[in-house]
Amino acid sequence: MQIKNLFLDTNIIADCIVPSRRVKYACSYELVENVKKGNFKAWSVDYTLSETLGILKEEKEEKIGVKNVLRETLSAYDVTQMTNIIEQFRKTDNFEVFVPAPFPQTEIFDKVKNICVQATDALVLLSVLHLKRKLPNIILVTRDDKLLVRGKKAVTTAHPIDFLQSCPINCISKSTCKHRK
Amino acid sequence: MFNFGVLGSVNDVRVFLTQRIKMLTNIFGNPYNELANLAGEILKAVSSPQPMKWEYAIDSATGLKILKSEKDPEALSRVRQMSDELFK
Repeated sequence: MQIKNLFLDTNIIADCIVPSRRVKYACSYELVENVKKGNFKAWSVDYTLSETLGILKEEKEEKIGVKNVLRETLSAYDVTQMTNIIEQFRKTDNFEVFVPAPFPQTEIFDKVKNICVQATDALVLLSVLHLKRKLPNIILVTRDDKLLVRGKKAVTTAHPIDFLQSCPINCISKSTCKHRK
Repeated sequence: MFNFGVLGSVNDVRVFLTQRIKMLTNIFGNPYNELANLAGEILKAVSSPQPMKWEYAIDSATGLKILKSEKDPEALSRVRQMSDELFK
């Protein structure tokens, strides 16, 4: 059986790293566990890791109750810990991060205009399209409802639960999630 | 790579400390084991892996330029341990 190639959006990576999100969006956590076990091959791009680093900083700010903490005011321990998390995540089995060629502004603009997505999501879509030339069966996995629907115009999209038999029992969003099964 | 002046690189520091620990243990024996253990902890901290650089490689299957990394079965568990510590 051919192993499915999945492109992980930033929210999936952050869900399996940040402790509070691991139980709130347990399907992402479960999916990455399956990637680690070799049931899927996962891909992403370098700037999703940068975005994840930003999410880690946001979570830290939320934890200490301050908005927009300057990097300089975070402790050296915190900064090292965050960058180490990202660097270690790259080492996950069956997960590769590729570097796409720079996209022309017009391509990004066209995606924003035609598919009606944010510029960052347009970059994700263009990256998936870039990967699709090499791996025709690539699937963009995201929890972002808008990207799930609108992205379908350009690539195959899926929610993490689509790759699981049922919702993880420890998921605290199970009762409210519209993707539950 | 860190440089420790006259001692040179991290590797030199490691060799230096290993020799001193061995010497201390040989000379003083058991009463100084605690000191030797403490020095061992310092040695471990100094010689812990340095942060990885962003290096690139070409994926043989797809020909894509990828971020080079040595795959590690325990990486995900370590990521979660570090994250738990960070958001404790």
